[in-house]
Amino acid sequence: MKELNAKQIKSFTLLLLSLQKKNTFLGFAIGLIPILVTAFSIELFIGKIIGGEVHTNGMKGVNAIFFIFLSNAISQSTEALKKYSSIIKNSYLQPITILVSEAVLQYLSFFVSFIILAIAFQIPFEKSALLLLLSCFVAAYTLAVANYLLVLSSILEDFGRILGIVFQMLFWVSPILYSIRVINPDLAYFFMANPFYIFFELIYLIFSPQAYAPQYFWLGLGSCFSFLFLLSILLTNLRKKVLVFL
Amino acid sequence: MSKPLVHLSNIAVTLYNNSSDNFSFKKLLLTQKFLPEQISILNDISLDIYEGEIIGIEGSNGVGKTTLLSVIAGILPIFSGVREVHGKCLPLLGLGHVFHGDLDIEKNIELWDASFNSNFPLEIGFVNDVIAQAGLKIKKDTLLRALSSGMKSRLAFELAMRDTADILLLDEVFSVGDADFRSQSSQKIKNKLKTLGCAVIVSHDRKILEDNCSKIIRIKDQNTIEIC
Repeated sequence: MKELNAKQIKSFTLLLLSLQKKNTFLGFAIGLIPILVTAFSIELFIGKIIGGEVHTNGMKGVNAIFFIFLSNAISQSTEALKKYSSIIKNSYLQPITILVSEAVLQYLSFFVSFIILAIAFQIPFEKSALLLLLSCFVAAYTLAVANYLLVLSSILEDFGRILGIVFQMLFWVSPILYSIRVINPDLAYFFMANPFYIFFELIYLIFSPQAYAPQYFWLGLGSCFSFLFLLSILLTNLRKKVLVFL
Repeated sequence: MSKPLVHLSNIAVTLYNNSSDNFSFKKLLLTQKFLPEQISILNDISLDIYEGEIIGIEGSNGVGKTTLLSVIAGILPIFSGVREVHGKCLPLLGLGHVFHGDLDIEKNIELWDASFNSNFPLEIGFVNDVIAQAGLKIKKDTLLRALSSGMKSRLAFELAMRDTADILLLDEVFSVGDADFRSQSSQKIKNKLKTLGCAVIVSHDRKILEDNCSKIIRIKDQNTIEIC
């Protein structure tokens, strides 16, 4: 991709760190508080009330930080394009630079939150390693989705609000607080239309590999790639013209 | 004749009118119209700029002067036609547009460096030298929002003069700042123009164009460029 400029991405990520006041230990730690409060309350209280007791320590908390990461990375990076549109229109700062920089900062917050969760809930090393490997795939998928959606963000002025509503709904139809296996199987297939479902299925399988069910895995994977394919068909041409809409 | 540094052939630029009536999802549902209305800014425009030439562009407001600079710089995609540019461009489409008010001076210089791929030697000495040469009596950790627009212009101008571009594109750069800044910048820019491959200057001030340019063109409308 000719738009990708590693030096520009590095410089802009560091500048973004300053702009978001996360360039100090305290600033970064303050940014983690909402993520950790959500993850711990889901793991220790809300998840138990809604989804019942699950004998996989830390799984619901991990689900929560994965969801926070992917929703924040997509919504913040597409919104950031509007925030810095004046600079993009007047220089060679590429939209993809802003997208990647914002996603890198979100990943950094995710990574530190994950380490804290892994220590707090004593997630075994091999499971933690697999979860981090999965997080790299989630990051790549998130970037691909955001790369297509950023053009919608520059055309539709209320796209940020729409995205917020969509992610709020996706939170409840993703198996974060509950397991898809406790739902009526006929209804469960509707939940698998969620393109992010596969990530939570994989988290579930990392914690409970014996629960592997091929239909859940393949349908989830199908939804995930179909969604990306659909975005690429619908938005590739518009994406090339994103600067015209700013 | 040698190859032009900038070659534009029959280019057309179309933008989307989203300024007067913003597009929203609600509007999309009500009107079933996904994209805003298209406006043709430039159509069938050709221009060659050779090494050593300094082209002045004049024309009334909204006729497409800045758009033409953006096209030469490669910032704005063209709808049709051919654009060939040999060399690195530095588009100054307004002094201070690439700064961010919440960053300090040092970080804003880094932002400029990243935005224009300038490869400045970003050590403390360089930053202090830029501030001093720009005639600013401020510290490098002063937030940009504390600066007046004239001070921002001075800083941007100093950075522009240090950039090593082959093709300089200036949009109304001469009309900012106080009288002192204008006379200093005019001299600096004249010296800079001698070291460049070519330059394009947009201004409403005919005298500035006559003083600095080897050729003046006028954009009459979206289809017509005439040599004055």
